[in-house]
Amino acid sequence: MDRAFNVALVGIIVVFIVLVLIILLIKLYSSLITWAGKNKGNTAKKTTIETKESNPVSESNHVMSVDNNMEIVAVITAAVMACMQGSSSSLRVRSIKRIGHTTPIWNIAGRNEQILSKI
Amino acid sequence: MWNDFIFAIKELALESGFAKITLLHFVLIVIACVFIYLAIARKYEPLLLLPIAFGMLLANLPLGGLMHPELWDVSPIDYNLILHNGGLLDLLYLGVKLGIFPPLIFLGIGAMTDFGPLIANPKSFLLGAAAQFGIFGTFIGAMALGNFTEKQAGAIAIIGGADGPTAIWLTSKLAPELLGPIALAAYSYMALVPIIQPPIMKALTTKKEREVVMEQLRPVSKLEKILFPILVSILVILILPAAAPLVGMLMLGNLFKESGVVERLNETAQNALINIVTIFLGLTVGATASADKLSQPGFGLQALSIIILGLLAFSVGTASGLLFGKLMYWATGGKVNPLIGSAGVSAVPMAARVSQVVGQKANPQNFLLMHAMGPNVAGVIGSAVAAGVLLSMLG
Repeated sequence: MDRAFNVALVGIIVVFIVLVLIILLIKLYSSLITWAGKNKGNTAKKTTIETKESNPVSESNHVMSVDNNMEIVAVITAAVMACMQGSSSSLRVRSIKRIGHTTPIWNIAGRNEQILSKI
Repeated sequence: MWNDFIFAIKELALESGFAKITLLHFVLIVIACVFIYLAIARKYEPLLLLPIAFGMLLANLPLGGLMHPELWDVSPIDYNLILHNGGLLDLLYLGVKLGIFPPLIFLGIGAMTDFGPLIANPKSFLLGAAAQFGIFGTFIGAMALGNFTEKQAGAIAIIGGADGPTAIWLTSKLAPELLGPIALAAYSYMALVPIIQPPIMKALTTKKEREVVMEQLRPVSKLEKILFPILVSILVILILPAAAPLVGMLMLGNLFKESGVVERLNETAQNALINIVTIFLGLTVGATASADKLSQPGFGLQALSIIILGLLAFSVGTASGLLFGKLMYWATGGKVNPLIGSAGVSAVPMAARVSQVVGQKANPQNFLLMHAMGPNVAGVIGSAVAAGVLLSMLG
């Protein structure tokens, strides 16, 4: 029985040590990234504003060339108009930009569940 | 002519399974059919229970020759003989016996898991670690019963990790003879998490504690998410090499997901691969519950003890996670809702959803799901580490 207590005690201590080390590791690299991001952010902000002002047309052209699927644009526009119940002339698509996929997977799963429960 | 005909029919009947079927075979076939019913009609973890139950059914139809327990019950195992004389399920069982399937399932789980909530709130790891008390508490309990060896006790204790692949992986290494009942107990209790956990959660927390609304988690950058699997693999495997197959595959799957450059591999890992391996794993684990094996003396008592100890493991894990959650509630001046502690047992994502449901009953404005996902996925890493510890100490 002594051996059983020993195994259990050593086991739980090792689990705690490993997981606490992972906590420290995450804290360390997260703060490094935040620190690096802050330093970079100050200089990067200025440059992005400058490029946007100097060359706005080429940027939108690039976006259009990536997502040049006008059918999808038309469908989304129609859906938005149907939801807003406004006249067709009141809506104008000025630019199309793909937003990065940042939603956590559990949020997506939750949202899908919500949508499916309404159908 | 007539006599020849009767003789042929008689020969055929004597060579059929009916001639060889025993009462135990019959009982196990009925149990397998009950499990099939539970999987289809009641939807109890059908993705796993259905192949497990059908594997059990196939293994108990005499003379099918799909699984030969006698080939596995010898020491050392003659793999050459298995490759030449083994049936279909014997060959698939190699994936369990050699510890291939559970890490592949972990690859898929890694590709499906979002470690974001855990990176945003790393303290969740403590809850994931606290819930592993269930494993080690049950180990002491199993040893105290006296009818299990040290290795068997370790394999039974891992049920408290609430993680099917981890339980199968460790049992195949420490006590393969108990694989059937341990896998069935682990998966059954995981399906019963919404029934087992809420009474313990309500008993150990006050209404005030359950009502705590936690602060919104900070957004986690892509770089942090990419670095996480790489750094955790290096750290954990260097400290505990025995956990390498599980932790390594879990983190590789997660890197597929987070890197964003191998979408096809990510897609395969979280869909096709995990589904294929689940079929093989379920079928073969079910097939280990064959009459030939169960008729061994003392097995019934052992199986019953495993079911009771499994429940103990789950309950102790839930309780210790909650108590550590309470500790964090006091330490942070009421900022942590102790209900997220019970999610530390893993059983992803069911345990986190239970925290969400119980929390929302106390306070309808409360959304604990994302907060509970942190300890929940920390529990997966915690139970893989615990399995590695048990293997290196008992194996």
